[in-house]
Amino acid sequence: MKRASFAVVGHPNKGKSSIVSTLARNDEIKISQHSGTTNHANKVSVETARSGYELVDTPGFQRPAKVLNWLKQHANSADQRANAVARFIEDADCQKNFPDEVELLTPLVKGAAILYVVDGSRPYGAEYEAEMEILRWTGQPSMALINPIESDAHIEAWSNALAQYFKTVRIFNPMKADFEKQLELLAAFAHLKPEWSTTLNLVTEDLTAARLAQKENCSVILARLLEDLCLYQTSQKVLDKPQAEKIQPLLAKTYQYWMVDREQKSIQELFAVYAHFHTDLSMDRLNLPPDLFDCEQWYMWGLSKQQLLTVGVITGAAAGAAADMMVAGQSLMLGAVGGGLLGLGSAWFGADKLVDAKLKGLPLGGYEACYGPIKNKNFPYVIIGRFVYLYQQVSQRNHAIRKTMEINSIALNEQIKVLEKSAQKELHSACDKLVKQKPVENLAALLAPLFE
Amino acid sequence: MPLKHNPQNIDLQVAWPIVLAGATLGAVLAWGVLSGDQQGRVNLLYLLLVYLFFPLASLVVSTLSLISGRGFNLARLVAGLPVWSNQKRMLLRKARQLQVEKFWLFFQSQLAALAFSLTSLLVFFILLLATDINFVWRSTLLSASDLQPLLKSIATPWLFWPQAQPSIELLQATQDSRMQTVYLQGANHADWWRFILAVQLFYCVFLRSCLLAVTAWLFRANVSKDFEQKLAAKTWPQPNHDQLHQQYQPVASVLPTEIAVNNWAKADLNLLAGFQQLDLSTDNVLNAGPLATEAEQGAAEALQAEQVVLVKSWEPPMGELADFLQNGKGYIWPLDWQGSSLVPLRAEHLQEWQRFADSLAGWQVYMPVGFMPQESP
Repeated sequence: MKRASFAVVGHPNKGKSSIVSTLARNDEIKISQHSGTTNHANKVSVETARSGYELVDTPGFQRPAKVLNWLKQHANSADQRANAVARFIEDADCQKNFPDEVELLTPLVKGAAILYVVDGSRPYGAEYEAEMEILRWTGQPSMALINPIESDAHIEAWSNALAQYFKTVRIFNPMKADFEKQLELLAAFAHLKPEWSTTLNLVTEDLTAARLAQKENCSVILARLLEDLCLYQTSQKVLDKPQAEKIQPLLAKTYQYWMVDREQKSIQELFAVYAHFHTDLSMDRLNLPPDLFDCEQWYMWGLSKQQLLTVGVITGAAAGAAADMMVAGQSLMLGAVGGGLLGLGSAWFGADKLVDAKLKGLPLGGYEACYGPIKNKNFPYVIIGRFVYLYQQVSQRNHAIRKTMEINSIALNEQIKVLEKSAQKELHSACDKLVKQKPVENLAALLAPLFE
Repeated sequence: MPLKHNPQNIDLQVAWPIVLAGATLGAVLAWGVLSGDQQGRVNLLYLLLVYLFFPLASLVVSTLSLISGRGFNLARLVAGLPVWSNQKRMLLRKARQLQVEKFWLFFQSQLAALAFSLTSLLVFFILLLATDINFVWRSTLLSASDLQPLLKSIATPWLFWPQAQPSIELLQATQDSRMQTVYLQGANHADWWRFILAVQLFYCVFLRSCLLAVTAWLFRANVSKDFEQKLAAKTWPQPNHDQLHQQYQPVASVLPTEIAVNNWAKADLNLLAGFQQLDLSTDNVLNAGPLATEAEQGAAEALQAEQVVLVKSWEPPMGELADFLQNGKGYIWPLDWQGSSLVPLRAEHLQEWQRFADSLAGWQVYMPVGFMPQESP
């Protein structure tokens, strides 16, 4: 079956490359504020698990009035128009005098459908009619996309004008269109040419499945990150105690470097999951406030001290309740109550504790200086908060956006509140286990609801 | 920059304590079995038990457990033991995350088995060199002719080595009885060493090495299947947004007093009512552009004097305008308006026109001071 192919055409600088970039989920496509950046038709294949289609990014029209004149001179009636366009792209003089039009019309002559892009934030102008007329002459299925680059001030006028030339007119902002909007557009593509509908419907299904897989991957990345950061410890064997004490600052540095590096690696993976390979992700520019080890600001990302106390009661009570069950309630629920109080106490005293630094005497002589693992009860929440926030930004970020990401904090607590009670409890219990350096089974599954 | 590789990259590092345990066990067991009794007699059938049956049985069990993937997760248990160093704990955690901890432990166990076989071989050599090992066999039920077909089939893999093949004569000559104390042909009893060596080389070393290689392959294949590892293989090129630091042509803020106006943009000329110095009378206004008639276009092209060409600031300069400007000179005035009033330009629009004018001889961008962009691009 022949693949669906769409040539994105229009005036220069109306967002053609941005539309291709967003729809193809490909941030490699060059986008520039300077007109004339696209000199050649660039074919971009959108591959999915079972299907795919092609988008062709084309140069903008440069001399549409002259081209239309040429075409008019070579076709006397409607039946000759498509043929005249085919002759136009073959003609050596035309190739020399109208290189941009030849480039943009070639994929259409080869059978691509037309996606005509205009800027809905600026007034309609009659000078556009020449290019719309040329496109009509190709006889290819077509759709007009109004891209509200700066505002939607002139969408109505554009819609009225475009309806004269195109059967389907859609508003599509490649910078803001969310995933559902993109799927809607694909569904509309499927209606342009009936023989393409099967492959394009498959593309839609595949993209939806891939979206779910991306979420799952994100929860796995976070689970691995959490486990690694919470359990990491660095140590060094030395001959005597003074040496061990001397080496501790170095160990602390190594520890912090490793932790920061590990978190950054996960962030890069997160970007890679969503195919943002060209995003300005220089970590020093990816201003991630606060510093991972700046305890003072942790409550911006994790939980407040009061919330931590509540969590301490929940996890303590859960452990105590398990003990109650073991004695079949003979303890008169004292386990749950006692566990809750114990949890409260440990949360209160452990809330500000950061990293353990230890000196151990070795059985065969010498000392071992250890740094880590982190004991702060808020630490897993801080990591979750930062990662989930980045996830929200990255997963919604369209591939046409080339600006550096701006990061602000979020209230993780609000997000946790949205979860079902049982999911909340499981999450708190998992975090509690992690700071106690106990392995957590199915951590990724426990974190998955945060990515809904 | 390349996507950072895993800070605790996982690979098949050797767990030396496990391998050492296998090697020690191999040496001790080989010494015990091959030392024999006071006359240096070693029961061939016991040797086959140790060097053939046990390795083969363990090989089959190992392979089946590897294929089925069922059974008790020994790896999880081993990983939880408090004997591992920080580094190993990290490695085991990574292996668990990638769900390859079973393969990791399996690999270590195969290495241990191989170490077991190699130290057994070493001890075997040492004893062959330093003592007289007398290989005998005893059986109440079996005769030499019963045993020979079995030994023959065991020796099939090294058919190319005739000296290591069991013969009926050798079997008959080395059959032992504990009542027998005197041996007439003692030299025959040493002849089994080649057969025993071949058994060890094939059934212990070769097959175990094959399984080791398969395990290593399975481990690596499973690691590379993990999505995180696939992501690590992808590159992270430089951001591809525009970072052009172009020098833009200066903008003129004053127009000559007598200059023709070319309304390329088809703008409402009332927008320019505030510019008293401009002559907007019909005689002084040209109408070239994509919507112009041939006569209008011709008249504009014929003009030799300077003109100011009004264009829509938000529309990028197109080829047809560039063609028109090739033969004239003057100023390009990009206009932006809202309703019936002119508004200051956006910085990126002005820069686009400056860039365009820079590529033309005889043309400059004109922008009255009050309409310069108010924001940086």
